[in-house]
Amino acid sequence: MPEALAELQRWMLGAILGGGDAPEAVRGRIAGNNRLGPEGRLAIYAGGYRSRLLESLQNEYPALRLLVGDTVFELFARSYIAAAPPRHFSLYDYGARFAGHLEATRPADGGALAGLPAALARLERARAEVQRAEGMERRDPSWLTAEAALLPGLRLALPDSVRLLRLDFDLLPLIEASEQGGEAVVPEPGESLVAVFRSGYRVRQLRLEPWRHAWLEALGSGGADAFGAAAAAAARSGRDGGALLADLALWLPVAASLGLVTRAA
Amino acid sequence: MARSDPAPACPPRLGLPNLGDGVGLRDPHFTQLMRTDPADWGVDWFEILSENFLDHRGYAAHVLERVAAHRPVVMHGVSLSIGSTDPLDGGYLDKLAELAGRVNPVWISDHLCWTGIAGTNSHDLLPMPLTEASLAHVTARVREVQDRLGRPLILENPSSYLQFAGAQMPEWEYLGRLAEESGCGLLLDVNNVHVSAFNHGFDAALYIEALPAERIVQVHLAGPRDCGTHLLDTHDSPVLEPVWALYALAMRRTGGVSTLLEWDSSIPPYEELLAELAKARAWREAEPARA
Repeated sequence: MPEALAELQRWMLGAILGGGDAPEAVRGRIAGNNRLGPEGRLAIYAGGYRSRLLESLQNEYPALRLLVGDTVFELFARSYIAAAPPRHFSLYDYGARFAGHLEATRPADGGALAGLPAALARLERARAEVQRAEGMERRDPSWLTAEAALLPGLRLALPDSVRLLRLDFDLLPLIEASEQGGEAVVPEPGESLVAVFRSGYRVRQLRLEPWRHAWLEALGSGGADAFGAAAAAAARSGRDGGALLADLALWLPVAASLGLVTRAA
Repeated sequence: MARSDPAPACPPRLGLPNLGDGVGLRDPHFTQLMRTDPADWGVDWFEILSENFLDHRGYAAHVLERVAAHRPVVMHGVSLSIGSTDPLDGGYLDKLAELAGRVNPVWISDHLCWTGIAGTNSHDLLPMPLTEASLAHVTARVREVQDRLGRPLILENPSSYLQFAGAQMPEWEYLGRLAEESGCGLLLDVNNVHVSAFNHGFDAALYIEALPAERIVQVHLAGPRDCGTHLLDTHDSPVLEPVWALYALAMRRTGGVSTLLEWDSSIPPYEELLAELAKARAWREAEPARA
C-alpha cells in the first residue's frame, strides 16, 4: 500500500467529514484555478457528503420529517451525520441506527413527547427493512389449509418480512398521513402494539391485540410450536388458554393470508 | 495530442457486445415496466445500480427479475472503492457475485475512484491522485477484483471537482494505461468528461481522442447542473449539446458501443426518458455528415 496515497486519503476524508481544513493545508494538496480555488473545490465534496446523507435520511423517514418539519428534521439528521459517519458500503444501512441516536439524544426534561421522534424512526426503519426483506409473495396463499391449522405439531415462524414493535404512541395515523400527502397529527402517548409486514409487495402495518402480538412474538423468526406459543401468549396477556386457542383458530388463516406467519423451516 | 493508435491488443469492446441504447432501471418506472409488454419498453437493455439490489428481496427485485428475463442487464456499482488504500471489501464482492448469479449481467462496472478509508465511507466518488504510485496501486487491485469476479471489470471516468497537486499525468493517460496494464474495460461517461473538462480547464475532445478506443465498452450520457464556478454531475436534466458532440466523437472512435442514458434525480416520465435517449440515434446517424 503506497503510504503517500493512504496519507492523502486520510487527510481528504478527514477534511470532508470535518467540513474543511486550514487554507495552507488545502492549498498544499489541491490545485485550483482562477474560477475556483482549492478550498472551494474541497467544499464541493464536503457539502455533497452531508447533502447525500441528509437526502438518504429524508427518503427513509418521511413521516418523521412531516411531523417535525424540515428544519428540525435537518437538525436531527445533521446531529446524526456528525456523530455517526457511514461505515457500510450500502447507504441503505446508514439509517439503521438513526432511531437509536434520537433516543440517546432526547432531552431529559422533554416530557411525554420527548420519545416520539425515536419511536417514529423505529417504525419507519422497520418499514424500510420490510420493504427489502424476503416476503411471502411467492408462496402459495393456500399453504395453510383450514384442516392443517392448529393441528398438534404445527410449527410456525415469522417471515423475514415481519417486524413486531411495542411503541409508546399510536403512530399509524401519522404514517397514513405521510403516505397520502396529508398533514401531520401529533400522536397521543399510549402503548401501541404493531406488526409491520408486506402483502403483495406493499408494506403495511397493523395494530395488534396484546394476545396476537404475544403469540407472534412467541413464534419468533426461528419458529415455534403453535400450541406452545399460544400457551406463552395466554400467560403473557393474562387470557384464558382455551379462549385464546379458539380465537387463534379463527385468526390464523387471516394472519397467514396477510403474510404474518409462515411454516417454520 | 491524440493517441497514436498502435495495433489494438484486444478486440473492440474487449470482445463484449454492443447492446444498443439503454436506460437506468429506476423506481419511478417500475410500475410502467411491470404493466407494459416488454416489446413496448422502447430500449435495448437496462443498467442497474448494483447497490440498489444487493440484499433486496422486495418489489425492486421482483421487477429486476422480469426485466432481466426480457433484456440484457449490466450491473453498475458505486461502492467498489477501487482506489482506496483500505483492503478490498470481501463482503461487498461476495454480494456482487451473488447478485451477478441472479441477474447474469453482460458486464459489471464501477468507477475510477475511492469512496472512503479506515472503514469510513463517504458514499461519494472521490478523485484519485494522478501519480505513478496510485496507478500501480489501482492496477493491482483491478487485477484482484477481476480474478475474484472471473470477468473483466469495466471502470468509468468520474466527474471531478478537484485535482491533487503533484499530478504526474492527465486522467486520460492514467485511464488508458490502467486499462492496458490491468486488462479492464472502460465506461466512457462523456458527460463526466465535459464536467471535468469545464472544472479543470482541459480539452474534452482531446481526452476522448487519447483513450484506447478498443477498451471502451460502454458510454454514459447524462445532464449536469451549472453552478457558475463549476459544473456538478447531477443526472437531473437533459444531455447538453456539447456532450452530444462528445458522444458522436466517441461513437466515431469506437465504431459503436453500448449507450446508456442516466437520469437519477428529478426523474421524468418514462416516455420523456425514451425521447431523450432517441437523440442518441439521431446523433449517431448524423455523425457521418459531420465528420
